[in-house]
Order: sequence, then structure tokens, then C-alpha cells
Amino acid sequence: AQNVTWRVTSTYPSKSHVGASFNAMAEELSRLTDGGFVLQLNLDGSLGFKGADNFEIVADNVVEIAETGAVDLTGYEQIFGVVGLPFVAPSNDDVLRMMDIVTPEFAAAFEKHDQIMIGWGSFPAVGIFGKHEISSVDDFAGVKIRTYDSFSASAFSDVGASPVQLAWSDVVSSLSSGVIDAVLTSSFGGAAIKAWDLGITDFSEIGYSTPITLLHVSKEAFDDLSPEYQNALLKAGDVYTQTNWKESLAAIDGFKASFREHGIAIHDKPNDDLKARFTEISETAASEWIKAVGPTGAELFQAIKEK
Amino acid sequence: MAFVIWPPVQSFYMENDMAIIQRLVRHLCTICMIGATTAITTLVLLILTEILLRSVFDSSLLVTEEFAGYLVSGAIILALAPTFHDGAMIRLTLLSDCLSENHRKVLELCMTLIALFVVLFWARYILRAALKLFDRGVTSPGVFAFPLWIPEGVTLFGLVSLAVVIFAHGLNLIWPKASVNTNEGAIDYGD
Amino acid sequence: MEIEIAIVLLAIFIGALALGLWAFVTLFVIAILMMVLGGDFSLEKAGILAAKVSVRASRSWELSAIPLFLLMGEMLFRADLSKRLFEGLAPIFRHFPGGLLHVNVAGCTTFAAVSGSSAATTATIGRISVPELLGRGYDRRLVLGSLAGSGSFGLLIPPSIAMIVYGVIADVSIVRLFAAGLIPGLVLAMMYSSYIALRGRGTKLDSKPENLSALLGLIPILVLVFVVLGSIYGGIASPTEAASVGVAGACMLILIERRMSWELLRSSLVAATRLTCVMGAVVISASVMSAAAGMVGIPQALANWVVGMSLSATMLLIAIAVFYIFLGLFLDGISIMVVSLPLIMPIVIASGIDPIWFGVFLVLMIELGLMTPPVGFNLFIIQSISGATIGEIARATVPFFLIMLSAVVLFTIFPQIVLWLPEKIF
Ligand code: NA
Ligand code: NA
Repeated sequence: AQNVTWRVTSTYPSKSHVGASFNAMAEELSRLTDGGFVLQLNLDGSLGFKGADNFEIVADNVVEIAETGAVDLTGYEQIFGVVGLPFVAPSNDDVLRMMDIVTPEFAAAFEKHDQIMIGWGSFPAVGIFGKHEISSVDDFAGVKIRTYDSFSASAFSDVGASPVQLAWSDVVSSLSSGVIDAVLTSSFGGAAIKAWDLGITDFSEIGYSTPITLLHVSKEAFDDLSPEYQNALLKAGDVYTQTNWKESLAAIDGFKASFREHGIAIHDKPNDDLKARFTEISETAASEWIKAVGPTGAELFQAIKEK
Repeated sequence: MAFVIWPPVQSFYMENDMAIIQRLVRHLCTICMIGATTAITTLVLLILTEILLRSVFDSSLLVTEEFAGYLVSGAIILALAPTFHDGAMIRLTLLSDCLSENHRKVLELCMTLIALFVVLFWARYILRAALKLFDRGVTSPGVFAFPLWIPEGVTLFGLVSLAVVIFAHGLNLIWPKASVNTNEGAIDYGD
Repeated sequence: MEIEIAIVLLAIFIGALALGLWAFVTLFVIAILMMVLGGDFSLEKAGILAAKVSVRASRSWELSAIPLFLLMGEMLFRADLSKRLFEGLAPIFRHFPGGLLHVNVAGCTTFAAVSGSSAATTATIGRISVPELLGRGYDRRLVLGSLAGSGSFGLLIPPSIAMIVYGVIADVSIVRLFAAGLIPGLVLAMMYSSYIALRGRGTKLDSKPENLSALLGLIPILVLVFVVLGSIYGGIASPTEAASVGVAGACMLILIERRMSWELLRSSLVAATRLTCVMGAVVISASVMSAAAGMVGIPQALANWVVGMSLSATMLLIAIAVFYIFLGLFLDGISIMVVSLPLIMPIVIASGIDPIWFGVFLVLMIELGLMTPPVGFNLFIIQSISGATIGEIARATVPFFLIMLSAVVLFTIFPQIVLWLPEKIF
């Protein structure tokens, strides 16, 4: 059998469900190939690449596998933006159904750029870490909230908050000094910055979005593999996807327990007014996104809504 | 050794050519330095605007981090040529200080060649990246979809300018006479 | 990578630098050779990687504070405000052994509370203090060495970029880390000051008749410090943004003093841009080299070797210290940390070492790397500020390197120096 070592790059922490999933994937790959196919994991951004960089270095086969946030890739193909649309998949079941629908489209988009999509992952849904409960439109008034993309910026300015853009490395000191009042992030992000140490008292789950990451490999490197190894890789990719989903769900409970333990109240009941506004926001954002993508986008969005 | 053999060949015309090259280099450095200082000035104004918008108008430019990145990158890369020209780049001189004038020149010529080669190599792959970004119409994923070939093109311009300056530095070593008048009509872009 | 290739690369690295190849070119060459000789990379792939990493590294938000703090320093210098600061401080400090040399330490300690980066701290304070101190006839070695030593407080005293990176990877509270760095920073500042006082005994400088009106010269800079610190801790600006507040504040001061001119603005901008470029060129090529080292797995291999020795807690700390100091000779400390932490952290936890304490320990290791040649950013910055050679600066830095190393020993014997404040606050 061949002896193959592939490099993996990801900016996400090795000490997270992402690290666990990559380990499971590497083990499966090694098991299927009798130790012939090895993954060298470079997580935590240790190779110096960020976000969209992954797209090109994998296309050029400098690194064989990368895990990249879907929304980071919209500069290459707008279609990836669909998973970042506000309130497009409010529950976990919605996320699974959405991924079933979009995966063929994403795979095709990667194919155009000499890459193959072999799996996907997610982070626990984003919510608002703030200094009071947010469950009605009025709760948003004047809140300086750190958002992370154009969709979230316009969504939260629509309900009367003041979206602010800040580097992630500035979030910790900005929350504790009061430059911002709140931050929109996954419960993973809130736990990573230890939100309770920064004056955060409330976590409002509003079903805004679930961050999706995509696992993509270089087509050139893939074609160099024997058919047997290609199959093993695809199977290991499935193991990644399944482990990631399972571990991500398990992590949510852990995060929530530690929020409660540190005195952060968790709210998950936005009132009907707010829900209605969110639906409007979702439609507006989707129509803008469809304008950028074209008819495929309209079909895709329709399919996700009707699932 | 090149500079030992070549000086006698030096003609009136060659000196003239060299003067043109040196003038070109000075103009190029001025252009680069103006670009770099403009980038820094814009960076100050950009961040001050963001602070003002946030604290007084409850608002945000939403692109400050991204554009600050382009600006600081542009400033560094554009300033490479003039900074190299001024001899300000970090290097160790403990060994070359002990050498005789002629040996030092040979060494300097070798170092210059290596530097020229490295910068051209670097520029070649920036060019490749810029062309790809341009062909595919890639934009930043941010709030404002900014065409990414623009900052990549600025990087390319900065590196090519640096290569020109390094090349001229090498020529100067071979025909030292040409450098006699470098200060005459020099464009002062700082001290 | 085979050990023979590693040794050849090391020889080329040191040889090229010694022969006077520009540092940024050397780092670039080594990065490419490392990938092509030590890895399985074609020249083309190495080129693609270098292009990508260099562009990414140059576009960093954290880097953007550096030109702005430098601009602030240049403007203060050119408007003679920094000279007046020293004239104001002279009557106060002339009674202390070591005199105005303490300004390097005190200035860096204060500035470290504003900036999260050691490079910005060294460059800004150095630009203001080095010409003044050398002009006043202070011992060159103490001037350069104390700046290299205390410039690195930028990472130890909060805010700190290194602590943010560590906190996220090691899953440790960043604010607790910030709190943990404060007292060690002050202890180290006192150790530096004591050394300066010891060495500076009997220096009869600044013995001009005291002019108390010179004290008024302190006011503008004190106001500026207050404004910049206030903007951060008052919730107006993030630490990175505070640099532009500093520039705006300096402009206001100079306008009030009626010293503003186009010439001052232009020459400050050019000087700040040039120094940014000198540092930026090395920062960019150093990140290409770090990426290359990560690609071929050098730090990972060494870290695995350390992890595999199954040492006691104390021996483990010594091994980690040797690992960081050795790699810190050539690589940037934050990059080493990012690559090695996922391997080292589990065994550190298993040995019962407190992760907050270990964070401070790591930051000190990174700071030591900033002071050692051939690749030491504080040395590079001081070279461009003072025009001294790297060799001279490195020799001047030795005592301060040793003091920091002994501080590490002190904090290991008395971990409460590190842990008391974070435990007290939370
Ligand atoms: Na600091
Ligand atoms: Na070093």
C-alpha cells in the first residue's frame, strides 16, 4: 500500500469538538488503510492561514485538506453565503435538513475551483451575550453589539441595536471596558472568552444562525491517491461530519452548564413581535442574497424553506 | 571581479545612462513613499472615524478591521523600496566591517544578487495570486465586497519597485562613478 | 526533516546573516529552503505559500497599531515635547542613582498598559528616550540594554496580544491572565530599576541647577498618557484603536503649543513609515519562516520530544524553557506558542501546573526570545532607532536577559506572585 501523509489546516482550536472530530477522522483513515494514510493536524491557525486563504492553498495543493467557515468563502462563490442567512435554520433539525439540500451545490462550487468537499461541521448556534435579557424588539434599543458579517450587521440595526465591527482579539478588553455592550457569537465563542469574567450576565438564544464549516481537499492530491485510499478518505470525511455534529451538540450542554454555574442567565423565548421581525429580516436578507447569486439561489432558498 | 574589469570601459554614454537609472530610482522611491505615508494617514483617519461613529453616533463603518489591514500592508510594502534605498533595512555588519574595500564590494554584490533573486521570486508568486484573484473576480467576504486584486496589485507594485532599487544598488557597485552625483537634485522625502 | 538538513539550514541561516544579507531576505531564503530541502515541496508550492502567508501577515489588525504609535512618538520628538519631558524629569530623577535611565523602565511599564505589543512599546519609548539619554551622556550599554529588557513588558503587563492567543488555545480566562501578568511585570520593573541603580551609582549627570519651571514640561505628556489610557479603560477605544487616539492627542498638543507645521507632519510621517517598514519586512518574512517550520513539522517534532521524555513538573518546566529559548533564537515566540501549545498543554495540565501561572511563564519565555540574536525583534527595533549594531545591543542586553531569567526562577519558587491577584479579583 501507499504511504501517504496529508497536512490539515484549520483556524479552529484543537481543544474543541473540531479537534476531537479531526482525531476521529485520522483514526478512521489510519484504520481503513492499515496506517498507510496519515493526517498531520495543524489546528489553531498554526500555519498562519486564515479564512479564505484556505480556499486557494487547497486549490493549489499546497495543503491537502482544510476546514473553512462557509461564510468566509462568499468572496469566491456567493452560494456559500446561504448558510449564513439570518434565521434560515433556527433549530438543529433545520440545520441537518439544510445541509442535505445545500451539500450538492457546495460540492459543485468546490469542483469549479479544483477541490472536493468531503464533509462539514458546525459550531453551536450563535446567540447574544449581553448585560440584559434580549427577547423583545425593545431590548435591542441602543445596544452596542459586535457582529461579524454584513447579514448580522443589517439584521441587528433593523431591530434598533448599534452593530459594531471589532477584531476578535479586541473583544475581551472591549467588553470589560464598555466599548461594546454585547457580542453575537456561538456559545463556543462565549465560553472561549469566558464571558462571565467580562461582565456578561445574559445569554439570549434567538435562533439567529448556526456557523457551518466545510471540509475540502485538493482535487490534484485526491487524484494522486489509489481508488482504495480515495474511498477511505471519503469514509473518513463522513466520520468527521458525524463526529463533529455529535460532539458539537454535546458541547452545547457543557457550555450552558458552565454559563449557569458562573451566573449567566439563559433565555430562549423571543416574544412573538420579535419573531415576526426576524421573519421579515430573514426574507429581506434572502432576497438580497438571491440578487447576488441568481436563479440557483432562489431555488435553493425555496427548497430550504419548504423542507 | 566585475568592478575591477569594467570601470575602464565606462564611457560618457554609460555615465549618462546610469544617471537616468538613478533618477528613475529616486522618482520611484518618492512615489512609493508618498503612497506609504498616505496609507498611514488614511489609517489614522479611518480608525478615528470608527471611534467617533461608535461613541457619538452609535454606528460603525463595519469595514475598519479589513481596510486597516490593507492600509498597513500597503504602507509596509510600498515603503520597502525607499527604505532599502536609504540603507535602513536590518542587517548584521560585523563581518563586512573587517574586510578590505574590494572584498567588501564583492560580498555586497553577491548579497545584492541574492536579494534581487529573492524579491523577484516573491513578486512572481504575488503576480500569480493577483492574476488569479482578478480572473475569478474574487472579493473580500466582508460587509463591502472589495475586489481583492487591488491590494494584491499594490503589493506587486511595491515588490517590483524594491527589485528595481536593488538592481540599481547592484549597478552602483559595478560602476561606482555613477553614484557620485546621487545627491544632486535628489528628491528629499524625509531625513 | 533529517537532522543533517536541519544543521545545514542552521549554518546557512547564521552564515547569511553574518555575511550581511538583509535579515528579511535571509528569513525568506531559509523559509524556502526549509520547504524545498526539508519538506516535500516543489519550488512553486513554496512560492505560493510564501506569497499567501506574507500577504496575510502584513494585513494584520494588531500590526496596525505599530505605525500609529510610532507616528505619535515621532511627532512628540520633533515638536521637542519629549525633550521637555526629560527636562521636567531630570530634577526629579537626579537624586536617584542611575538618574534618567529609570525613565526607560518607567516609560515602558506605563506604555505597556496602553499597548498589547512589545514591538510598539520598545519602538515608541525608545524613539523618545534613546536620543535624550545618549545625548545626556548616559552609559550606552545601560541605555540600550534597559530598553530591550523593559520594552518586552508590552506582552507581560495587560493588555497583551500573547496572552489573548494563549488564553484562546489553552482555554484559560484572558482577564485572569491579564491580572496575573500585572504584579510580575511590576516586580520585574523593580528588578531592572535596582540593577540600573546599582550600576549607575556615582554617575554625576543632570547636575545643572534645578529649574522647577521645567516641571511644567511634564504636563503635556502626562495629559496625553491620561487621554490614551482613559480612552481604553473608559470604554472609548480598544487597545489597538488607542494608537490613533494617541496620534490625535499628539496633534492637539502640538497645535496648542503652536509648533505644528507641514514639515513636522511630513517628516514624522516619513520617519514612522520607514521604521514600520523596517520592522514590517522582518515580521512578514519571519511569519513565512514560521509557517514553513510548521509545514515541515520542526516545532512539533521538538515539542513531541519534550513531551515524550515524561519528566517531573520541575524538569518539564526546565525542558520547556530550553525549548522556547532555543527556538526563540530563530523564530517569533507567538508562532512557536501556537504550534507547540496543543502538544505541550495536556502534559502541563497533567503535571499539575496551574494554567494561569503557565501562561505568564510562557509570556516571559517569548519575551526572552525578543532579546536574543539572531532573530530578536527588540534588538532589531533598537538597531533602527539608535544605529548601534546588533552585536553591541545584544551584549548590552545580556544582564537584562539574565535578570528576566532569574525572575522566572523567582516566580517558579513563589507562584503566589503570579496567582495572588487573579485569585483576589475573582
Ligand atoms: Na501590554
Ligand atoms: Na530571538
